[in-house]
Amino acid sequence: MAMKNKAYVFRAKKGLDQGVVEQISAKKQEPEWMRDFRLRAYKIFLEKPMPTWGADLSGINFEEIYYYLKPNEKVERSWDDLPKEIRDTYDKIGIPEAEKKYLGGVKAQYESEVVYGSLKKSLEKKGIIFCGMDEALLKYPEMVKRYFGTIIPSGDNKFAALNSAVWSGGSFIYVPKNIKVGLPLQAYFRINSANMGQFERTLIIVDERAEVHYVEGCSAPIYSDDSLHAAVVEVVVKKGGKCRYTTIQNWSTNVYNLVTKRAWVEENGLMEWVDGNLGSKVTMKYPAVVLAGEGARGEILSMAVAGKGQNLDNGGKCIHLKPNTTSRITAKSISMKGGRSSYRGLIQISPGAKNARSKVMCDALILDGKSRSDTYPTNKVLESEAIVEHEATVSKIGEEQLFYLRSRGFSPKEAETMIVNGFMEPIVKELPMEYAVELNRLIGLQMEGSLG
Amino acid sequence: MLKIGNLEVKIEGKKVLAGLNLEIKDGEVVAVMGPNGSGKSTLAYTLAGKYPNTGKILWNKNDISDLKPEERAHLGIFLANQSPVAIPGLSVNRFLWNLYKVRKVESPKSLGVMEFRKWIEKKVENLGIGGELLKRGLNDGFSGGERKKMEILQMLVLEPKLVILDEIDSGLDVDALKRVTQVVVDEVKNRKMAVLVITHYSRILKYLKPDRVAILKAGKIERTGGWELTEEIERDGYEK
Amino acid sequence: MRQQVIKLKVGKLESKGVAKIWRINKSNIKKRLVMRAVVEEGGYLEMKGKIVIGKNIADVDVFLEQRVLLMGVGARAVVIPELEIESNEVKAGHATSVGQIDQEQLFYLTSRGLTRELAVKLLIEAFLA
Repeated sequence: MAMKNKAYVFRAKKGLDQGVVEQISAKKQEPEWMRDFRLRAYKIFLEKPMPTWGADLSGINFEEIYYYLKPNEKVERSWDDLPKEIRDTYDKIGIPEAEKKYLGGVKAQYESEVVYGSLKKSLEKKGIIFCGMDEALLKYPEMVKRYFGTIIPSGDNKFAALNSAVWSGGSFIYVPKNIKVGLPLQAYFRINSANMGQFERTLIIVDERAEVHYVEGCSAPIYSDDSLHAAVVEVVVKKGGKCRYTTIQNWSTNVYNLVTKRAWVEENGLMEWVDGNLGSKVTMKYPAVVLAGEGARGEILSMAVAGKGQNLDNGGKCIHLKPNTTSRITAKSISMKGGRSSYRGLIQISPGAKNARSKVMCDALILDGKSRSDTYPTNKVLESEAIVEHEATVSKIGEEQLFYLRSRGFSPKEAETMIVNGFMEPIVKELPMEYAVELNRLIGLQMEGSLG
Repeated sequence: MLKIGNLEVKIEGKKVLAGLNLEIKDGEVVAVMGPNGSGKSTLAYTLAGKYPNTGKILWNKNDISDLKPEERAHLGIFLANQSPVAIPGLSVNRFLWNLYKVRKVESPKSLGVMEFRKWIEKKVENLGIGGELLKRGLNDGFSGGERKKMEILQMLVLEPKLVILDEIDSGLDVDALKRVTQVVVDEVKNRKMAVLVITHYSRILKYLKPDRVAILKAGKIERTGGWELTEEIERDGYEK
Repeated sequence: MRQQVIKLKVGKLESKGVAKIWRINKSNIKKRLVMRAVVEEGGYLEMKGKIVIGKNIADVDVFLEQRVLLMGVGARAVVIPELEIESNEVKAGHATSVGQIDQEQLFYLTSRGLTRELAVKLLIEAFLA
């Protein structure tokens, strides 16, 4: 069921042209530089071809999408002030409860806009900024202007260009020097209407020796028509800073999820992407780390569970620009019920990045004969004093393991679930406890009926 | 009571067990000895349900030949594997707790998670297993001896009526062997557990003191006897 | 396990490419493919190895190993190992490494009295043997 007209305060017409881009900018009362930024990006979007590799994107009809849908007048500070339908949605997902228990702050985005925002007083007092991207553009224009679109330029790819043209919502985080944010900050993204395009834009700046853990989740109800989610996430980690960015992607299986994520890491900084993908019809997402300062480190944990009708094409990229930089990618995927999962990755050691080291480990399980698993890594070593290692395996669940557990009294299904959970454990254990439990539950749900 | 009659098993077209007969009563310890390739491990796996067989495997008078591995486990048959497989990521603690929940015994204790943990910790100490092992993935990176002890720990959780020890002594040093066999002997004494010991060395039999010894050769029980058989094999080998 | 080895030497300032697409069209294959290359000063190597297993294939265990030694200033390599697997009764994998001569091996040989140059020469010979 699509939302009724009354349930949002403004909706742009279906389809995309320059007028829609201008209208979004005008509605947001943006500074002129942002309007120009959008219009330039729109041109790039028109000029850029669709990617010729990766998943099949021919099902996307750009004319059938709503690019901007504003559900509420402003960002509320209390859940009770939200319209009932929106509040109920988040209650069901359990966000308000999680907020009370273990989060430092929450942003909730519904369709195109952030509708709820909170940050613990104690964190606010330390100078931490956590707000919606639109709010940041008005409140902290200089900081936004300095970084926005510098890590991922509009011309990076067609969908980054599209996002740059019509972006709305997303999070802005700034963590001042030496401040460590103990509790995770969370954003939750919800697409609730059919034919919706969600284009949030997130910018995180972790200043020198500061630390933050950001968690994002997302969901959408299933419609017969497809929706499009094309986000851009830019992260800057300054000298000695540390950022962990955790994603639990559980879009419904009618969402095209085409996301560009990149972090710029300076001297001795650390960026960690923890990327869990369970949902969506198609995902193309390769979180990247640019190791731009000596001793910078990057870590990517990538997880995909591809079921019926799903094509999850994900992985990671590590670009080593400076000496003594290190990176590691650990990818685990499961393909079942005709699903396809692909690991796609790039390790690049640039000339002069002496003593850089990188290690990539990919393991894939195929649970049945209908499903497919691919591995497409590129290792570009342009510096002779560097070491790059890559390993990958694709297999089914071991017969020996299955027999072992069954001979202890477990049913084939119990045994299979235990083995799969064990297979995913190295990544799941990196998640906050509540998410780890949820993830194991979701994997269990996906696997139901996967055995004959 | 286990009664095996005219058991035949083919693996990849080759007859590995060829008309094997064997009987084990409750509370009895029976050793099956034989040279490499005589079919010892195949016998162990077949009883646990890995390979299809012809002939009869009667367990308390019912033929279990067509039962699935988990169904045999529920009837109280336990195989302590020669080389237990590793399941990375599945922590021993979680595994044992799940094991405890799926087991089918006549008078189940119902311990809570914490009580169960405590109970396990005691058993772990008896067996001489390092406590940190419980937090690791099942058999993942375990030494040979640790794997064997982990099998016995599982046996204690499941309280089987018949345990098949497939070369349990390999990988265990003398002290560990004493501990492990003592645990098995206690179960025989206390619960009348039946034991089928499969081995090609008589070392372990000194501790388990089998009621009978059977010699397996070319897929058949060639001879059955008492303790004196082990001494004969020690002296003359299998190729007499 | 059967093994096929492809060896390559990229000399000073040379540029070379090697590509192998390995299609598994029938069941019951156990095989290992090894690609090894040494790249000297200023040399450039592109090495691609791809394993493709289509539908309804069973009892396959295949592995691709790619090892590249970068032996001097400006030596570069782009190594692309790929897998496309559409059957589940199979096992496939690859291991790739790009790096320098193993320092422990080098130490071992020099501690026996070999000069560094000779030790390096022997290790490269061994690597490509």
